[in-house]
Amino acid sequence: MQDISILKHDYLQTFNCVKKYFGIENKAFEQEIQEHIDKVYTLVLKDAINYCKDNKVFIKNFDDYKVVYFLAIRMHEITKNKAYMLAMLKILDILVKQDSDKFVNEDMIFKIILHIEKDTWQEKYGEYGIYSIFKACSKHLL
Amino acid sequence: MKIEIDYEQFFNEPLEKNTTLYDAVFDKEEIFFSSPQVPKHPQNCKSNEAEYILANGSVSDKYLKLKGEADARYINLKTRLSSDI
Repeated sequence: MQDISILKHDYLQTFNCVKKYFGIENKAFEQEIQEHIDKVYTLVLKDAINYCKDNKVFIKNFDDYKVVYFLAIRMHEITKNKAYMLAMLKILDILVKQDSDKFVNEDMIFKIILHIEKDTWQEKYGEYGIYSIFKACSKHLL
Repeated sequence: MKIEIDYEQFFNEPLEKNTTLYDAVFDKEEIFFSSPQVPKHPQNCKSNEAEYILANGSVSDKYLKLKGEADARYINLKTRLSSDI
């Protein structure tokens, strides 16, 4: 059985890691996330839990890939700034390279960027598709 | 299995009227506790970098080095994108 207080603490720590990733991409991201922290902290948690529910995932702790993904989507919704989505791709790409020793295929990234630019990424990849591509690459499944 | 979660503390918002705690926490048994559909052993899903930050408080030199490589890669992708659009 997972202790809920441990999970809550783990979510806080994971969220703080993710803020650091975005801060390294652009200090302004970190500040803007902080401005909306009350809203996004809860929304991203719900997104992560909904993902687990939809996919029947049994978690031990929170996945920073997932928090990066959902935080970028929520900040994009709030600020209308696509730079969050592009920063998300770069952060996930770096995490994949570190975890698997390979960057994600460049053509694959290029197609995702094209769909983000055209606002068609949701219809192309679905609710969790982009996250799944990076996660699969991190485990050498793609 | 009985789950005891302080919903309001966990989500930082009040429970809506006429919502049971069980409904409100999205059937958390499925998520946080074992069920027939999911593996018996939970997976550790954090990246190596997150583990590093949790242990050391800041991002690793390796991450920063890879960021340099990624920046160059994304500049190339943007150039390619501008010629495609």
